[in-house]
Amino acid sequence: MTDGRIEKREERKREFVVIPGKSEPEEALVQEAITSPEALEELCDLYVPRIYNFVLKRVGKVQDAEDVTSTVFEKVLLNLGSFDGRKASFSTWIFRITINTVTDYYRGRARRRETSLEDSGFEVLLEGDSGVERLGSYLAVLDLLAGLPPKYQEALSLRYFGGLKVLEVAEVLGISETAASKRILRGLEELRRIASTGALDGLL
Amino acid sequence: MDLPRGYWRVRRRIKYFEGVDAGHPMAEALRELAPPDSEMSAEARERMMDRLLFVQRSVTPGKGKRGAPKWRYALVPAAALVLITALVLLILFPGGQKSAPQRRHARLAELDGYIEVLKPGGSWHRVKKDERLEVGCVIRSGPRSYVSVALPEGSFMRLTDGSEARIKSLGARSVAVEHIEGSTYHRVRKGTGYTVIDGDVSLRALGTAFNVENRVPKQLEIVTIENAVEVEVGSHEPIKVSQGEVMVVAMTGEKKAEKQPVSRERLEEERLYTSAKKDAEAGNPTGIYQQLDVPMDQNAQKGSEPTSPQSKLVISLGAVASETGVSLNWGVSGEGDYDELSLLRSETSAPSFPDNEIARYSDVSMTSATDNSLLQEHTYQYQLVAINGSSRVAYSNTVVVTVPKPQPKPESASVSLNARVSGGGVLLEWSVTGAGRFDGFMVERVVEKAPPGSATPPGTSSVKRIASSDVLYSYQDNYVAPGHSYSYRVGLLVEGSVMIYSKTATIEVPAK
Repeated sequence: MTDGRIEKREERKREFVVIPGKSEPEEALVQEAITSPEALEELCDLYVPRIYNFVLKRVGKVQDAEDVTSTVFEKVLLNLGSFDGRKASFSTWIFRITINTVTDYYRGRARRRETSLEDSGFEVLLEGDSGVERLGSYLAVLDLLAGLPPKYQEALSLRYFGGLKVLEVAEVLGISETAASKRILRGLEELRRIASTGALDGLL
Repeated sequence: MDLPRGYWRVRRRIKYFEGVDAGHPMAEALRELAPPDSEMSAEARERMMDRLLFVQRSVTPGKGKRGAPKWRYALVPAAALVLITALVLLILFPGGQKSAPQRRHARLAELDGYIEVLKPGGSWHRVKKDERLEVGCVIRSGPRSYVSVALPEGSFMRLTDGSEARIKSLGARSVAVEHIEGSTYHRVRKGTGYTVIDGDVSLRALGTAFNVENRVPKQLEIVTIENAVEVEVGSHEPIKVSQGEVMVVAMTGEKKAEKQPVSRERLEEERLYTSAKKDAEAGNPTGIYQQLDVPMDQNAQKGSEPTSPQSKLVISLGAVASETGVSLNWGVSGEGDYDELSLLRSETSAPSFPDNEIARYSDVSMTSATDNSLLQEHTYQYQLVAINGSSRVAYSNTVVVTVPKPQPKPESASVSLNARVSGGGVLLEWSVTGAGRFDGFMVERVVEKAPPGSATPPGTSSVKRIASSDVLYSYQDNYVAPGHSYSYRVGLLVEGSVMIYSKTATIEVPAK
């Protein structure tokens, strides 16, 4: 009787992590990665591309993105023992670590944001004049984003740079879907408001 | 197909909420402007995996190592045999000892946790206390680990967790260390020529204590605890970082550095604080810690100020000192209610509430204030407290400022400029000495020589304004043409106009 109740409760808890179309690593793989180099490499194969691209779009510099991604995975490895698949999916957990690490990155650089074109490292985008223009606009958007309150920065970056669904944004931020959707919309409005006073008005 | 429980309900929810930002112009712009996905470089990925496998070994000693081949165990008796043979030879031919050169070694004086060393020509291995390190050895510490390295002439270096350093040279009166990662604390013996290198930044110290850290990507921080350090970035003139100052060097293509008084929070940060405490326990002077009256008692100095546990407010306080007073500015972010702000100031110890309150603001939209009741050359510490009803809900960082003497004459300021051809462009590097406050730079360029028919004939001039208060700066001018000769000079901007110019540097960009 007691066991049955516990089982049902656990199923209800897990319900929120079932996101159609998304695959999660086996919990065994996650646990194995604490000690097995092979499992760790496999876990990295699964998650490095997604996390790296999120971080790259968020910080705007290739070298910094590589460093931040490395820090994220080091934190992940150090805390794998405390990961509990019943409380959150692995994706949610790793994105939570990632946004905290990116916040630390910006806090450390709060006094010196640099967004020079030569430095950004988006070589692909730099081909041709339109690429330079686009990159310039993108870096300007990152600057505007950095001026928003952290809660909007997190919601917008998860949604548009991480490609997360509203449900996933809600899970990462630990809020309801309704709150997440409101936060995204308010963030977009706030971004539009500050963009309208500057050079990006025409573009946006 | 066996669908997970709740699949359709979740799918309906997703469909509903996914449409919330459809058609929003800013959402579309963000998606459109974001660069396409790309792959992390193979080199960076390899570096990351190497680091992760090291961390894995550190946290699970003995379990995470890749399977060592069994034949390696045969090396033990073989090594023992070689040792015995060497001993016998030494006994039979003792004269050999005389010709052996004297080699200096560093020693692992104290360690805790997981420490690995890479000896020249060898591979990483876990080390124990008192192990000796020769020149060329690289030492690294795992998570929650630290190690103190006693250097042969009497100095010592302390690596905190997740740090890495290489011993480059060990002389009778000189030491050179390469700081690779994390944070390293250095106590230099008087009379030793002590150098720390990180990329093209080198630090020289004589009889001092300082901390070097690069935990923020592409940023090197130098905090001088006692006396002074000379920091040289690339080909810039050396900059002196005195006791109680912190210098941050941006390790990107364009070198920039910023120098300011170190904050009390930085000094109380766990890693730096523990290193300084160990240094103090060894009987060394604590420099800035003593000056600011920071107690060297971990339990007494942390968490002494009560704040509401529910508060998520973050208050960032900044301060700029001039000869007439201190300008303070702040920002409050995060969630939480407060109806008043209290400004604290003290001179000798950390500000405390309510003893050091100098102003209270019920208009919480205020974001700046000026304090003019100050003495020149005195050091003050400020902190802001958010108050809700009768309880304090959040504290800001503490800022430490020294009110300067009247500014030196403008003539004493100078800008030293270097120019060289680099990567198809011209790299300009300059440093500012003797200037008080300034707003930026004006880079002026004139074409001196150009091939016939050039689009930029001799005499063509251009300027670029750079807003910065960095004491050293690098600027890459990529808009130059091959076969042209350019002259550059850099003006120091004070309140929008040039106060002083550097000497002119002329450089020729080679024809292709």
